[in-house]
Amino acid sequence: MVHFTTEEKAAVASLWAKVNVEAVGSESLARLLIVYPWTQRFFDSFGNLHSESAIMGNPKVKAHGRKVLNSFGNAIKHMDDLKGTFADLSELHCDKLHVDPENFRLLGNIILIVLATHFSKKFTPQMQAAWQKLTNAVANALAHKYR
Amino acid sequence: MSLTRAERTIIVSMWSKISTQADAIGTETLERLFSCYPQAKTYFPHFDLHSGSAQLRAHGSKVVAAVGDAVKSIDNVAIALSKLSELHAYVLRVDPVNFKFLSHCLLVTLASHFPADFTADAHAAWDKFLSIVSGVLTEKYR
Repeated sequence: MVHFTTEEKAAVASLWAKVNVEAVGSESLARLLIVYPWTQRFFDSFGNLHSESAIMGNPKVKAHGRKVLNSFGNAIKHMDDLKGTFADLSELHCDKLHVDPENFRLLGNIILIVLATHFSKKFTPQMQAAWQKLTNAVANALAHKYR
Repeated sequence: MSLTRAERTIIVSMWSKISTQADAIGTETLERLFSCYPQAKTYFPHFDLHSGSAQLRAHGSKVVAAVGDAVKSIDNVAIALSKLSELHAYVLRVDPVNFKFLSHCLLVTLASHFPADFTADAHAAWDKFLSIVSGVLTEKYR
């Protein structure tokens, strides 16, 4: 089980308080679909994903990005039990959505890059390390129920 | 996998900005690598890896200079990095997974230093370019 130190929890919480969930969420999902175009395979129902501007402006991408990042907010409230917190979502992503867990790692890394563009120098190596641990742990929790 | 003309243009033009802060970017990339992926430190038992160390700065410069060489020969990265490829295959033998970690940390560093330039298209171009560079550096491994 992943253990977060007091400092790591504090670092994550302090940045999260300043995160624009709508902006970071939608931008992260959009970048996933742009940087790794094969991930579009999960979003046939999303309409126009034919160009960078189409993806960035797509309302379904924005809405879904916000939803995904909101669940990160939930993770931050339960950093001591991520596997329990994400058990149902894990089953959903395996049994219904059929998403390769590698995609959780890809999205997690993109979230960090988007945070870096938003927070610039404040996104120090130490801040990245705490958040990297969180995104890795969330990815593992989401993959935990796969069978 | 090869770069489109548009991707090459993005990389070359961003490089002219990046190269003015090359050393700082190299050092920061390595700091991020060792903070987030401490297992990467196993390749540097002979280094002082504390923040501010001269060795860290020197090595960061080296890494960024190599990326710069790849940018200058963006149409033929394999030729430009051929010696480095052999070094990694026969001498250093760094596990290939670490190139992904290093590339990711360089992307975070670029995003942090150049937020306005690091658009989604630029992000895609750099991600692709760094995976080409990583591929060249590991292509002689076996």
